Amino acid sequence: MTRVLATARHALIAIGAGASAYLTYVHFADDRVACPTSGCERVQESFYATPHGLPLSLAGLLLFVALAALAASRGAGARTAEAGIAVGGAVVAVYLIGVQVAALGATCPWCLAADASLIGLAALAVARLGAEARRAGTVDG
Amino acid sequence: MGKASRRKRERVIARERAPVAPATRLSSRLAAALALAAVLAGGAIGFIETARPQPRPAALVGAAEVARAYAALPQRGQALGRADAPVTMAVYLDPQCPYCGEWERTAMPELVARFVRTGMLRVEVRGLRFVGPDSDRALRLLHAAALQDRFFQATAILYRNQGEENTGWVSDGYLRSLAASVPGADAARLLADRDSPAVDAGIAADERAAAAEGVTGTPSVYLGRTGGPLGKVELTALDASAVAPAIRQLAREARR
Repeated sequence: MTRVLATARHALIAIGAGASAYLTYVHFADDRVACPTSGCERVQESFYATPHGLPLSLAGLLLFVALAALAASRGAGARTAEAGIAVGGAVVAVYLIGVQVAALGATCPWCLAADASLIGLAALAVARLGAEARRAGTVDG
Repeated sequence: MGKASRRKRERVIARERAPVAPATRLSSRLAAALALAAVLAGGAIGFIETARPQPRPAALVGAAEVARAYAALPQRGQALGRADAPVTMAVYLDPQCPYCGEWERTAMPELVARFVRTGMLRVEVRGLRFVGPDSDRALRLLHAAALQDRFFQATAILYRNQGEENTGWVSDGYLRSLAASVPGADAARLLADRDSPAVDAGIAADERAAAAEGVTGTPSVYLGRTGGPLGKVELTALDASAVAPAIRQLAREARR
């Protein structure tokens, strides 16, 4: 992975983890979300924010921590797990963006930041696996 | 060749000779990544979607009218009206029987207004379930309503929203709506009590009573002086006129 892509990966993890950590803090502190729009309250008060009582922001934070740990690890297994988690997370992120736009009619910038980070991380992970595949194809061919 | 260009060429050769994952190993890695992604996304979205709150069921047709008709009337279990009313009418019904629906919608409102509300008549309803499985499912909710002394309201609302026989119309959604429509009832307890031993006992008691009376069809109506034997009424119509003269006659006899 080039230095630029590695930096982008670390930046996306930091943005996603930061947004998730903030929303988790707000949830447990029972505080108001600092929000430039009126959408945050609406999103955070919906059942999507705490399905079965579990704050989704906490799940997101754990996901970013896992991605950070995998990014720091070496080996094919770590890369495979990183790609799987990032792509799975990105699918959930797309679903959650759809929920905000279509079901709730409100968007929360903190959530969107975390969602966009996951989509970006998935794109990087897929690009990396694709590059490896091309390289393997070149060598085999 | 200069030193710098030789080093560059060595680096290129080293990169080309570096161990690279064979294509087959890479495909299995891709498959593993996709499987992990599918499990993660499916699990997370499923987890969120199963937390979706159930929409509050809409009230069924006629709930407000039924609430007014039965307001402030004495009711205990499956009996409606004053315990010292001079005349008692016992009615056997199946929740799915269409003639029972007509009886309930046409005769009962008038009988309740003219005779039960004036203290002349006491009505006892017994439920049967011979038409099919929908009868059993509906009857269980009616008996659960009897445990909350709301049997008559639940029965009246059910017959105002009766479906075609044995089409599966007594669905879980229908029963949730029915439970939510019964005025003054605890809907959650109504649903929870459907399979209770008390409901089983109530259904069994009604079936024993029907067997003892020799009931062969529904609606079957029996009339008599309260506390005395009840006689079968041959219904010539499914409205109040089929029993009103007999009720008045029995009430007059009781006053003598």
